[in-house]
Amino acid sequence: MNYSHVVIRYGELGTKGKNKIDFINMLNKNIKNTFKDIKEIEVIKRHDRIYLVLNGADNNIIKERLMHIAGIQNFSFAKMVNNNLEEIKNESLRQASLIEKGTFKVVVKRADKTFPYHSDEVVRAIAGPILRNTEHKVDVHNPSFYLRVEIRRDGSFIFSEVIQGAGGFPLGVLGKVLMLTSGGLDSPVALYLMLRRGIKVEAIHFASPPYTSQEALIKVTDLLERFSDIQETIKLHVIPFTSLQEAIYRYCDESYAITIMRRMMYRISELIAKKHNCLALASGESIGQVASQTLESLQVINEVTSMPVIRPLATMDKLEIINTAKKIGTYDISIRPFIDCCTIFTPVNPVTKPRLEKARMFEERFDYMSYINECIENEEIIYIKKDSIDKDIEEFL
Amino acid sequence: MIYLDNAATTRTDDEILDDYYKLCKKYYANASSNHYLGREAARFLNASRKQIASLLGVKNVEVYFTSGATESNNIAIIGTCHAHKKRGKHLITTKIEHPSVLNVFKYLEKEGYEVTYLSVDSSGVISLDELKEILRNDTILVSIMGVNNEIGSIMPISECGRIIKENSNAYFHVDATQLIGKHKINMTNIDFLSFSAHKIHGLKGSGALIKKENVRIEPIIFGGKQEEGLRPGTLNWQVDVMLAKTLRKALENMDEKRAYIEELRDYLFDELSKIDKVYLNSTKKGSPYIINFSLEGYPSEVVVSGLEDDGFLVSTLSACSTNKVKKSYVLEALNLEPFRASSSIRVSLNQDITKKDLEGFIESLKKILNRIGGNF
Repeated sequence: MNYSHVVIRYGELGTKGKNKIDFINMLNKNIKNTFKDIKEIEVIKRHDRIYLVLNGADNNIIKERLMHIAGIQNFSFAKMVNNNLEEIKNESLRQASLIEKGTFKVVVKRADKTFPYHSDEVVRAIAGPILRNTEHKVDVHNPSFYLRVEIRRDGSFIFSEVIQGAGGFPLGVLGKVLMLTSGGLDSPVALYLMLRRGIKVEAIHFASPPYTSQEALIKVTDLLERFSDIQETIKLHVIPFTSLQEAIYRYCDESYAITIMRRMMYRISELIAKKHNCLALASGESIGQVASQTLESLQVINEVTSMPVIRPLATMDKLEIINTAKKIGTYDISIRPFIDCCTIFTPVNPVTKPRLEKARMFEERFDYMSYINECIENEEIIYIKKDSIDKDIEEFL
Repeated sequence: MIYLDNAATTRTDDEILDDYYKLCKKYYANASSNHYLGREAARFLNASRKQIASLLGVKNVEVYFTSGATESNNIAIIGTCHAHKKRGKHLITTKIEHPSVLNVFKYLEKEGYEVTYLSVDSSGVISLDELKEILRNDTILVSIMGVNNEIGSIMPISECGRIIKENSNAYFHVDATQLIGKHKINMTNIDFLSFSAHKIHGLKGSGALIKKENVRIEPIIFGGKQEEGLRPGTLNWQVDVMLAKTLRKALENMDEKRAYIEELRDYLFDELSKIDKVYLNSTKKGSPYIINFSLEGYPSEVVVSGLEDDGFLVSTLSACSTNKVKKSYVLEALNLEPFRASSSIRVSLNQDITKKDLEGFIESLKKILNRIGGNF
């Protein structure tokens, strides 16, 4: 369609008073970072907009990436012309004639008050030639498309479509959470929702070799890699969980094994989170989905930590979760058939309404803190990045 | 030197060679290994498979990497026969297939299969009516080449596919070695497609078999689980990546490239038909990449050697030793004058050849014919 710019609008940022400048600077930085591999693109920051100057870059790639950047309310591909009524008219007519026959409304924003015509005059000047030269008709109440003109100091931007962005806040301004990540369907979706809100994540994964295979960890890293377009580097804490898990099965009743295991996971997560400046924990738990996710279970499990635990999927049903997983491209990875530490030791009859006293009683039977310390001492940190291999694959193919 | 033997093989594209070298230096792991280097290799392989699948309009799981068309032909034909022999033992192919198809059928005849060899008309094309007539309830496989490698005749693959599917339960195999990257392929009624990289400026020892997902075949080589067990052996994945690139490059502007070759072909046809004792075996309905002609009264290997002295490399399939004349079975199948099968020369083109090169070729050919004329 021959666009020259993308006009990017911030959403909720505008309401945040004195933080606004920090937010916009962060968003600007994130956008620049996202497009640093496309050398044609220039990013220009203005007080209420960010512009991308396209210089011929591929529109589809840009659209795809912008849709995932947290903090963008919406954006439009636009053509910039000089602040000259004739040029504005011509470009408006050109764009209108490329759109399928319908009804339209012209919306003019005259931000540059030095422009010699009033908005109404501009609207009339634009609509006239469109009515004469195309089959479009005017409908100011329910048009099939809008023709929008924003007259600014930099020039006049002419566009029709407004594309919804991810919303939320620029990634990084809200702080960081530690996400419990298994490799199943839920945690990647929860992670995505955190990122989309603009919350940075670190991930923690509990591995129980040899009960769980190396493939289970590969699944997790593959899943996290999916988000490298949104958060460039994700720190993954891999906790060797085998001896603690074995101890749980030695000392606790089987029906409570999952409850105790989850309590241990949260204890470890809290310690790791504090060590790495994460402000909260997050998990993919969905209320009622399995025995360990009933409200009774969550209450007993949650009791071990004083940190906020964010559960973005709490009220989502499985189908919603699956659909989102498919949409964000994690579904195919999640369903790879490798066991994780939640499934390997699944008891036949897990308790759905665990009691706190009982859980505590089982835990008193062994020195779990020494196991926890051992877990933390032996944690392995993996930095997940969009690796150079993706670029290589593109290049070699 | 002007290389006019592109149907035998092509010069490897510089970018393919450079990338292949770079890829091998940087990534060397076994694509089946579970460590991260292996996973990286597997990602390359998957991306390549996906690219080939999307270029040909098939599913990712339908792409099998092989060492080339000969292997693909063997896997598809023998594998189908062994998997479906209970349903029938009748097979159909043409008289002018490449030896990597023809000799597979000869082998299957020894195993007790019945093979019908379709004849071709004087332009090297089979008859659709004959195909329809010959199809039987117990026909399990039909194998027809896309473009003949000696004379360039184009088989009506889409129509064959339709007739086979409407009139039988047979599977349809297409040896697309000379077709791919030069002419459009519609995979709708095709169950198997074989091709090689080296005919389209790729690497030798590289090719693929496309096998539709719902078609079951037996493996003919046994080993590991690579390529679903149909092509076991450590994946030659860097080569497979290059196949994906080779195919992409071949399909880019394919129609424009072919139009250019057609101009060259038309020029050659015009000039060759003006020369006395030269008989064109190819027709303008065929692929413009292959031009085959015969010389009445001239031994083709002498002419070929004379052309070589002038720097023009062409191919002759009829090399005669002192007392035994080798004949081209393809040209024999055309039912033309008998001398044609023993005196043919094949010129095969590519994008680098210019009209000026071909003017030189025609001049050289005339000169040689003049010099040796009357001596035989």
